[in-house]
Amino acid sequence: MEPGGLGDEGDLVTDGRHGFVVGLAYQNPWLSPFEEFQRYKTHPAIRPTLEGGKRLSYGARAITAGGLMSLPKTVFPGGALIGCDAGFLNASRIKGSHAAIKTGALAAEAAFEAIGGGRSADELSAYPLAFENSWLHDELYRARNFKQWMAKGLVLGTVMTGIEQKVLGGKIPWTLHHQHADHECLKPASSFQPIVYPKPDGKLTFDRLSSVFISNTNHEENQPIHLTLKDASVPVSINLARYGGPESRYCPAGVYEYVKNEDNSDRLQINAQNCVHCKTCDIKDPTQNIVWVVPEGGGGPNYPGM
Amino acid sequence: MSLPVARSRRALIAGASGAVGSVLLAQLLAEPAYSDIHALVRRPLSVPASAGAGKLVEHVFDFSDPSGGEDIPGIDDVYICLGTTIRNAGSQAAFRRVDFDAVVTVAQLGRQLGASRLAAVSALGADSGSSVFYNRVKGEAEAQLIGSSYDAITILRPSLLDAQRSEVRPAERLSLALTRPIARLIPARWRPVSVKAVARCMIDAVLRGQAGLQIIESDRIQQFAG
Repeated sequence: MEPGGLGDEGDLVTDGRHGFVVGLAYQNPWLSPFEEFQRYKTHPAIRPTLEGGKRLSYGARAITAGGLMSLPKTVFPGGALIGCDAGFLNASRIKGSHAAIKTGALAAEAAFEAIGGGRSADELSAYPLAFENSWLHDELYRARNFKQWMAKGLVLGTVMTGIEQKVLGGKIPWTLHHQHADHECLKPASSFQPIVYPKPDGKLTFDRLSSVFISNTNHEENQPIHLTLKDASVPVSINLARYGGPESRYCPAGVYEYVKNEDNSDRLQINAQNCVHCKTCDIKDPTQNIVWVVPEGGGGPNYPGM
Repeated sequence: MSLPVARSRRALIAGASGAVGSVLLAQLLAEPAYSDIHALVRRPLSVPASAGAGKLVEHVFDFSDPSGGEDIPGIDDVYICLGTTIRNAGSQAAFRRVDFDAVVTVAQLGRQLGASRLAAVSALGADSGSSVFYNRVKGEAEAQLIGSSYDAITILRPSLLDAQRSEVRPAERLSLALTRPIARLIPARWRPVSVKAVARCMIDAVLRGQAGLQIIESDRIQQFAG
């Protein structure tokens, strides 16, 4: 949120940003991150801050929060992974801009040297080495266990993060590893009661489609659909039957819809033109049947003022 | 984009009267992703008339005759929970006919019926190079399954099975009596594991359908307990 702060009385908030983060390791397939955000806005501590405001824009993004223990190899011939979305985000602070700037600078320095030396299309091995010797690596190394502890519950996660960061000052003699990929965490829909979310009021809470509309998302017509399926029968026969069709809820843009055929059988409709490129489906699909391919250049969301 | 109508899946199960198989069969009958469960049986099962019992089709099958089972319609997923003990089988050769030959026969039948995914219960310590006969046969059966042409192959290696059995396995009973009270102190891979967890883990792995080979050790199976 900026300018001003949530609940800072006296500040005149003219144009604010408000975000809500849902960990994608959740188990209940009835959960909808979008609806959780809408419901959160109705909380008595949050509602007064937002009430009377006008919705200006909307967007959604998956945050790469696994930290140092999830970081892939960051260079390949002719390219490098940089920025907080490559995995350099410090999840315990939910901050990544500084990491994005730093890795960008480190990669640029390595690229400058490589080009000066007449090299091209080889691996930029100086970049990961420079990262390992940077203050950013030190910072991420100290926070490396954060998500792993949080996966063991909020209470234990808070206590252990406090011990690691405050008592030990980040000098932690142990390292925890991630136990599950997010797509392995969903349990069958029959294990839970469906969640009933309140209807949007159009003032404080909104529906998905009108929200997606103001994300200025656009894809050139007649381009191949960029959300593809490995097996076209799996969405109905497994995702819908066993997991209650979770893609219709975790997608923040309503791209995935289960609709009825004329004979009352189900089918999955993919509204790829609505896709805001958050990549949640690629991460969370329990059968890993959705393959996100890059759409035609220039398509996607166009967030004004974001 | 609209997709063609997708039908529900069909499963083939072998070993449905056993400790894991009987629990697995009940879970498969309750699983909404399956419309038909075909069971290969030596003798007709006595399945209680519970939810989903109408989905069950039994096929009396001679596991020593690889040419049978041709009347079964198309299958998507194969579940194998065949296994005995050397004592109950009567001899090492008879044991091998169940834990190796019958396993390979069912896997081949599944492929002939069009199945693309397979899950099989093996055992902790299965190793084709082992000097222990039991572990060696389990390992050799695994090697045959791994060499088969399924898109997704899941092999589970449970530790000591915690189950209600109709047959008598004195060594298993004794081991369970000794290990149950101290289960939490035993490393997860060696701890007794409930047959419900084994069955849940099998269905979960098959329906997620990760391509290629997955070998699931008992500590991972434990996470499906409860």
